[in-house]
Amino acid sequence: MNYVPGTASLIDDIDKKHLVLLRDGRTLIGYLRSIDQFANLVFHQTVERIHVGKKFGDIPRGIFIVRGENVVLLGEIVSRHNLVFTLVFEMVRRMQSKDIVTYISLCPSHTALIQL
Amino acid sequence: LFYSFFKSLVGKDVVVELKNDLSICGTLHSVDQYLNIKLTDISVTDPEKYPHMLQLSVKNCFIRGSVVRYVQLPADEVDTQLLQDAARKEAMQQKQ
Repeated sequence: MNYVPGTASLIDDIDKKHLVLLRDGRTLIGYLRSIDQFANLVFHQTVERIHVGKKFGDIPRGIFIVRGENVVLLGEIVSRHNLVFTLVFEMVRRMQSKDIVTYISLCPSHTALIQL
Repeated sequence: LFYSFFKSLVGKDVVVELKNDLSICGTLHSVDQYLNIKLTDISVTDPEKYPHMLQLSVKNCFIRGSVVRYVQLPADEVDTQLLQDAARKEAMQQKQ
């Protein structure tokens, strides 16, 4: 899969968050840790996403090893950087205007992340 | 032979139809000896015979060669004469 420039390689996708679609229709989301020539994949912090209509639920699965023949496609997820950054910006802005209450209520789950 | 054929198409827009009836439109980024395909800037062509994956921001994808049914190309990207001749040559070589 590698060693020749210009070939479709998964090497640059390592350690990035990916969504993999399996032949049985399941979608797994996690960090791609390792690959080989058969497209066998090692996923870290995997979450299985189950869709019901427009909604979905996530089941945390831990570490997954996927056999290459079951992989249909693999897509890189640009993690919701935009979402997180706009949130952080908003929080910082509000903090500047001393709106601490709003800052905390905006995103209680993120207060650990953002120890401003 | 087809590996080289696809290499000549890198950068063109194609639609890949998969064996599970999914159709994905995108720009051919790279291909390998197994005819695995990497597409950038993907979008769904079909009315969502498509799991709601693209609600997440998936811009690039890697498609395993073994799940591809068709690769649809605009006719002007392909020189059919050249392809036919090359295929015939290849067939002759394999006969010998």
